[in-house]
Amino acid sequence: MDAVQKEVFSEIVLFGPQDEEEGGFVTTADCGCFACDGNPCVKVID
Amino acid sequence: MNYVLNSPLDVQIELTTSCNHCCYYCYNFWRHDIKTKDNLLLSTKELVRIFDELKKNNILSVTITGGEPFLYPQRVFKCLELAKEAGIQIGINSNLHLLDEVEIKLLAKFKESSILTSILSHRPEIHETMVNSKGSFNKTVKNIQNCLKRNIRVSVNMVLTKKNFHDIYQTASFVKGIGVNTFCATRVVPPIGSDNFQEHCLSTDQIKASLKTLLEVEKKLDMNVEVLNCYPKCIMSDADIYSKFMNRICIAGQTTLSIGANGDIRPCSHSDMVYGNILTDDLKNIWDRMSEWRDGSLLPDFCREECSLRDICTGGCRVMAQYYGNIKGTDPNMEPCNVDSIRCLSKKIKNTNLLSIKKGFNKTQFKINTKFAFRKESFGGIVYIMGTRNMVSVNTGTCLYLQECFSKGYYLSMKEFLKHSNAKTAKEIVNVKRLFYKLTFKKILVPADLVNDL
Repeated sequence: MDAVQKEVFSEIVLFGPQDEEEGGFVTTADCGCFACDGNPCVKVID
Repeated sequence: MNYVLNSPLDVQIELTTSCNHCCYYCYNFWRHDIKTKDNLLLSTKELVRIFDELKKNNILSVTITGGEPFLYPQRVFKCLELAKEAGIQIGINSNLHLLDEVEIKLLAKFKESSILTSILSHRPEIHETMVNSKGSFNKTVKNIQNCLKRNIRVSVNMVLTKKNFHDIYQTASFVKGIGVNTFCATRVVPPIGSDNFQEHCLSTDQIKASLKTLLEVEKKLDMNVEVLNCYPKCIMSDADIYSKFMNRICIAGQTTLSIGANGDIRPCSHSDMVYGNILTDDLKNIWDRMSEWRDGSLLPDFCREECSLRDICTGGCRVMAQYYGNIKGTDPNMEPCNVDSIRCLSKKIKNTNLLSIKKGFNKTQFKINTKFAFRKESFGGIVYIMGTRNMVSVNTGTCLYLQECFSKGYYLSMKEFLKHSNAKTAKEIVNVKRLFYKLTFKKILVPADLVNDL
């Protein structure tokens, strides 16, 4: 349980590389497909 | 690395094999198979069993399709009720030819439902030739308008063959003119069992041109644009196309499956490969049997072993490959010579496809959506909003925290989320902020002053 509590929050990329340095984009089940229904995934910086 | 889900996220239910149209490009494999030409229809009892299974497996969304579902409107409304009871989002694929005012009024009561229909060309004669039904153009257009008047969401898909390929922009413009905001133009997939269909299929250059036209539609007509079939990534050698359409992969057997009108389960609606029957077996058992769609064993040797895009591409459409002779063969539109330049393109684009967080966002107080739900997976879980397709897959730590906030009714801000996230490095902090923004974008988190209005 401790290990879980210390786990850094993160989105899980279901398909493709987890590390953006490798892949350069996010590919998830709801990303880019019609299931998004006009509600696509985003990348954000501030 | 690909994760394996415990069950699909989305399921297609083919309510009936019957249809009032006879589209020459129809992907229903049974249209071309005399042995399976019997008209099948799922009974109410069978639908109850199916939705029980879907609920048990925490399926997020369902698409009712066919055949033409509205040949049996009462059965469609039964599906809508069952989906509502189970907290499952529902969409309907229909040619919208048969609906009447009373049915549209009833449909409007199911606010989260949506419709996907087809307009094959802005020219009625082309549309009607392709669907083989005289008078169908005006009926479909009228019913699109009637649905929109009742605030039913309608999206339009245009299946692209050599016959209508040049009509994309004008069709989109026509569709926009009648009030539709989401337009898809998708290469035809040869129907399994049909003969000599290759002559109707687009060339790779035509596919690339269609994607460019869709980008033009998005820009000039201000429409949401999409393709509904996965294309091999190696055709996307243009930066604009890449950044818009790169994310679509083949989700057959990965996040979705199809249930036929006899209960048979297949990886997608285009495929004729059966893995079990939901009326006699558990969905979970059948899903587990579909592992060849997830482990890469259906990919061509080149895609699996040599291609540098193999971790981000599912090798195009396996049904396309099947039609051309071998399900483990290449998608006919593949262009392997481009893979290295595309790999470079992906790195170039990653720093430009970014959005900024709105001013004041950091201070906003949020609460978890009252329709929050959670589905456990090996990597953590899927958090989602019941009755919608809004979902985010997250690790276990995030899941536990969101569940706790939900059960205890906590307020949380970006600052609070960061504090609990264990993020320490600059990269971790940026990723956690991005996750927080996505949770708000998907309405998992909603501004606290709006939470009671949902």
